[in-house]
Amino acid sequence: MTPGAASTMLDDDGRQEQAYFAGFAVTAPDLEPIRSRLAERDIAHHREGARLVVPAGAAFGCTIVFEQG
Amino acid sequence: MQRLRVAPRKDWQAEVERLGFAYHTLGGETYWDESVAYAFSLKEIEEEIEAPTSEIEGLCFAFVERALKDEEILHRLAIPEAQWGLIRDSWQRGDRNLYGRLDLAYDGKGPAKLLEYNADTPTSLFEAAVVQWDWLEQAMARGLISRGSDQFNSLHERLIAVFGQLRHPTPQRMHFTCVQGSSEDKGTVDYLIDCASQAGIDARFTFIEEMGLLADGRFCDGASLPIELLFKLYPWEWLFREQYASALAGSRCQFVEPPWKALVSSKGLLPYLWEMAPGHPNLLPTYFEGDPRCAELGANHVRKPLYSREGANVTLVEGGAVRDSDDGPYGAEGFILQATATLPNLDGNYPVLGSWLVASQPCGLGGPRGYDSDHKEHLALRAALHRAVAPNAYGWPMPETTQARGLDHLVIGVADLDAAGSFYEKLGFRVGARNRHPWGTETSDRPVSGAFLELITIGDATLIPPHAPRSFSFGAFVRDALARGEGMSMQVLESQDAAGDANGFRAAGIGDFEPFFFERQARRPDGSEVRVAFALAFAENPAARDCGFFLCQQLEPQNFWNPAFQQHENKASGLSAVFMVAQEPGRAGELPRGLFGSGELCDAGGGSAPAVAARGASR
Repeated sequence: MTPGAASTMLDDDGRQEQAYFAGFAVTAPDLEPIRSRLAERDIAHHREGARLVVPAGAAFGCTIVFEQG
Repeated sequence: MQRLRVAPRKDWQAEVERLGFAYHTLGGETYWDESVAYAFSLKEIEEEIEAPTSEIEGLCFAFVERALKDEEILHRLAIPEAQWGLIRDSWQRGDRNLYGRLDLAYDGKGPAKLLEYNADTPTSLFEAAVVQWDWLEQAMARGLISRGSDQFNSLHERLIAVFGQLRHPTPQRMHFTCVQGSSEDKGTVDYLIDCASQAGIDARFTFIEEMGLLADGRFCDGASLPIELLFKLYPWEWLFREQYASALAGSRCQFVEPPWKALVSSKGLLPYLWEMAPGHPNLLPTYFEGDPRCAELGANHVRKPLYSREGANVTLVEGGAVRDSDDGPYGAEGFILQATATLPNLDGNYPVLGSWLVASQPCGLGGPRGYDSDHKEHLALRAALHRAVAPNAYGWPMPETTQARGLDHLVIGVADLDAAGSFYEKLGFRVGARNRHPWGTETSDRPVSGAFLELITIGDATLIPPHAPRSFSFGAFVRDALARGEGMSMQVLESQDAAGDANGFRAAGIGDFEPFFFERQARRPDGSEVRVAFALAFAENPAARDCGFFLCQQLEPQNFWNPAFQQHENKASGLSAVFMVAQEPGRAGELPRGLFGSGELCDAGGGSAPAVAARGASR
């Protein structure tokens, strides 16, 4: 993952000097039901390529990525 | 153990000077003598030197605990009463120690015997860490010793790693000091400055005579720069008696070695160790002078001052008569009498081994001094040690493991556990029961295909134990991470043997913590209660201090991993990646890369921009 992609997906502004855990990814066989669920429950999210990303700012400081698998 | 004659390198003076080793010859006598080397078997190193060194260090820790609760001991060690608080505070804070050297009598036939512990200001470090390692490599390359040789020596790597761990967060600046006029002391300090610099620390030197005291009570260097973290190659017993001793406690300075080392650097330690572990195979019977039990030592013993340097004021008594003694200025604080150790007679030489510890972990051997046939100290360093084992048996930074570990769980700190639990429910994860840890944290788990997400918060902060030497406080780590902000703070991998993994971490220099065991009751889907239990092995990653890593051994896995708990409305089938953001992903990712096994972690950033390390992690 490039720094640019990391910055976009993980809400990272590059200002934090210490290394930190930004989040995790979860696999699911089908992302569309998850996208619908997030939308129905008004949970902030966006698409990054084939992934669905719930940003850290909306998820108690921990980015949650859903990917197919 | 064998004493080997080895041809010195023809250009050995130039070679050691190339390394910056200027004091290879002192007073016209050869100090660095590479015409002799000592060969050990792996068993001798591991079982006769390394293990006892670790065990003695553990006894020393127990002694510190005991001494701090017993004023009689502090008086007996001649510790000024005004400094007891400084010492006690440094221990209770868990101030890190850097290094020490046990002097051992060992002949390869019986157990090594502790002669004394140079816990505060040992020298001959550079020779042991660098010069003898360079000799080993060159001697093999030049065919002077067999090419399969190795050396019990990870001193250099350990020192660099530990400098980054002396304080949290990693110190930006550190001062180093010693007295003027000693090339050996200055050489030792220069070497440590080099190690600190390699750890990324702004290392500054000032002679102790140049130090001053600022109006706000802080010490300063010759340029009036405040000193916050100080390595001092200057004994605590001298510092305690300096005119500025009263300023030590209020100086807000972290000292290396820490003040609690004053308790174990006294030879008064030795009678207490013998009292605590009578008959211990690696200890010699030792008593304070005047103790009636001194009669048990018989006519042969050694009389040593509580505090002395370079063998001064030491008297060797044989057959009731003084066989040898050295004059000196020491002894005002009292003496100990120690049974005579049998030093090995190797071609008329009586070597004493220096077993080095860095941050309390055994990690190398050197010859502090040899003794000639008259038992008098002389300056030949004769212990370039090697052994025939596979390379990297003591390598940095990873324990030898090629097996990738599965992810066990992720620890995610939240301020409001119920609110976070509701949010994860909205995401479609099954919610686990709320559990309380006895150390002050509360959690609820969300198993996802063989791993789980652990949401955690602080339940009762008063129950959180502080970090202590060899004791990782899980609660304190979670609390400190939450103080920085909510989010994931720890990554936990599987273990099949937490105790063995903890030993592996210790040997590799990536964590010196006792394995941690705990158990609790859990509820099955049918409502019945079952026992779940865990053993944890904690690691340290100096390049990513805010990222916790530990291994978890599930002791009742059948009670923990219940398929019914792993069915989620969002159909989550596994945890596939963990994202770590780091300015230097290569450095920060070393530890997880090693724990996961090679090739399991990919970092893809570069240059000075932040980058991300990600890793597939589901089972």
